[in-house]
Amino acid sequence: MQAAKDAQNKKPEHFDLEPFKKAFKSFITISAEFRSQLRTHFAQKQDDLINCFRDEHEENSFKRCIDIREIAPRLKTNGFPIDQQMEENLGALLLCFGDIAFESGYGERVPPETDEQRKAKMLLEMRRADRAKQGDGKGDKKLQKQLTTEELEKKKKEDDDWKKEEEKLMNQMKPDKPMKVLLNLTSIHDLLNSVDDMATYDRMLTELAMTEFEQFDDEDRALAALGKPFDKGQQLLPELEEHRKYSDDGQIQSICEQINDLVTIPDPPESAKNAFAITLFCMEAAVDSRSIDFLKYAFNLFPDRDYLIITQPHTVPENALLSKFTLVPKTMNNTFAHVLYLIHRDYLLEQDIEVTRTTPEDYKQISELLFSNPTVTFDSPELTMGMFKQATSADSPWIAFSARVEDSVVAAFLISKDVNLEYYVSHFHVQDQILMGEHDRKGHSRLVYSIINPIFEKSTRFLMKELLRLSDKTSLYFEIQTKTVIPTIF
Amino acid sequence: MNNEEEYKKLEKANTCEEYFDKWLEDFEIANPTGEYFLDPENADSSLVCNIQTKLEFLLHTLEIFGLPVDYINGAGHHLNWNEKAKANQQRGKKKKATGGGKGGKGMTKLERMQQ
Repeated sequence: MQAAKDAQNKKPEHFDLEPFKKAFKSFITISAEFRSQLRTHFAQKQDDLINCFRDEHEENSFKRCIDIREIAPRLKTNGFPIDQQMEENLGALLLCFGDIAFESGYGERVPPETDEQRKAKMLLEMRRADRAKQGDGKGDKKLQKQLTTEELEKKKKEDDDWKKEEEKLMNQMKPDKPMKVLLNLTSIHDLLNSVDDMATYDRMLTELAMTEFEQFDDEDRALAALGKPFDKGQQLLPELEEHRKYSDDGQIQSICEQINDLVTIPDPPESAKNAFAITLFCMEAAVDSRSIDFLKYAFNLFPDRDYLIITQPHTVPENALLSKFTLVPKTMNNTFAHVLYLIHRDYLLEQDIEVTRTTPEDYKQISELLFSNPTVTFDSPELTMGMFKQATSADSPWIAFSARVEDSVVAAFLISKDVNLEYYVSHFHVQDQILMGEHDRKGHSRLVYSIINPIFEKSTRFLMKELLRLSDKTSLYFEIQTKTVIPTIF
Repeated sequence: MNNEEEYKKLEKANTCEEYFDKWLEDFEIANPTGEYFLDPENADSSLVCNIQTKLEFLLHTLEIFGLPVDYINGAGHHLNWNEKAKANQQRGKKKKATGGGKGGKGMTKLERMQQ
């Protein structure tokens, strides 16, 4: 007998189909019709849906702030027509059919009600109802008068007992303290996306005749009322036009049309060639400094070319010829072993550069120079131009200078008349760089703005010296702020 | 399933063979070959491929609906059996104590709950 009892109480070892049946039942209850109804409700009450997504401060939020399992209870609280089935399976439905996006994170939540708490809650409700029935008030005062002392005492004792019991039940049903739990947090945006995905899935199944449900009328009406009708079917993208136009230049166009692979680099047309190169250069060391004299004759040989270039390995020291060339910065993905030097034909006029105070006649050319600056979008050229214009008046805190070659402005500078020297001295180790005592108080200035035609970049040193000479300054400061583009002259 | 006895004889192997495989007999998953994905022509970040077997696919889907993970290997089987057995025993005892009958007809709901 005992053995039979033990065998009965022993945990069975056979394959348990119950969990499978339970999960499968939940799965099949969420039919296409059920999903369509849900989407209809969502479309009809989208504002209420949005109101469900509130953060810890109870404010509407578009962030991922609520757990997928919390959506159903919140919807219910907001008055959504949600039955028990939907309440239990909404999270799974969104995950399975809507592939709802979420992020896992820890959050504090009150643990679900235990059986004991639920029992205590029900007991309390029932006891209260019971007592309300018993103590039905009419004529209570009359009754009280007729009660004997013993009866009154008995009643008092009963009341005391009830109070104690009520307190005990209240304590039992008290919810536990919030604890940290792993949550799958999602947002209203993710929910709406998942609802859209679910709709696409269901409609496709209907289209493929894989489901019998095809009554999307209610859903369509709700979506139409919302102003977002379901986009039926896949829309074909417009056919791409084959890229045929490469250049406005006829010659370049015809060359490009002949290219059939990604490796060939065709020879450019003559009209596009604007540079010639030095491929061999030998000079006696004693007269190396005179090598610049050749440049004029080289350019004369190629009157239609503006640039002369030279490349050499980066390990070779620069000779005197290269002192007039501009070193072209390498791009990030350049693996070419040589460095590139470049000189423009106009740079031969370098010895004619003249620096003077800016005059109103220079404004137009300075403006062109400013607007041709590649960093123009960050610099606000209109503002700078305004400063240049202001600098020509006597009461301006700035002085403007222009560098000209013949009649063309090739550089413009704006320097301040005075600097906050005390500030510089107190905040920077200025004394480590210059001997303060050797500089007149008025000899300090600040470079406010500078722009130089890149062809004449090599002459920057000369231009700066001219600036200091003409303005009677001996030291120049330059302030760098967060977004300052550091000029190449430094 | 015909009866309780037959149910108790179920094991993993015969359940898979007799039930799951049979249920999934007509269901087909078209899995593309690896070659398709190795072809650079088909390089598309939005491509999704299911590499699960039919049974894995079924179980994985049902896991979303509460099926315990690794259910096929015994996880979640006969969950809370001891507690259920205990509760059954207690229920039996109470029935006896209250003279049997259907749920102690003489008691009010409140009294039953208090018990």
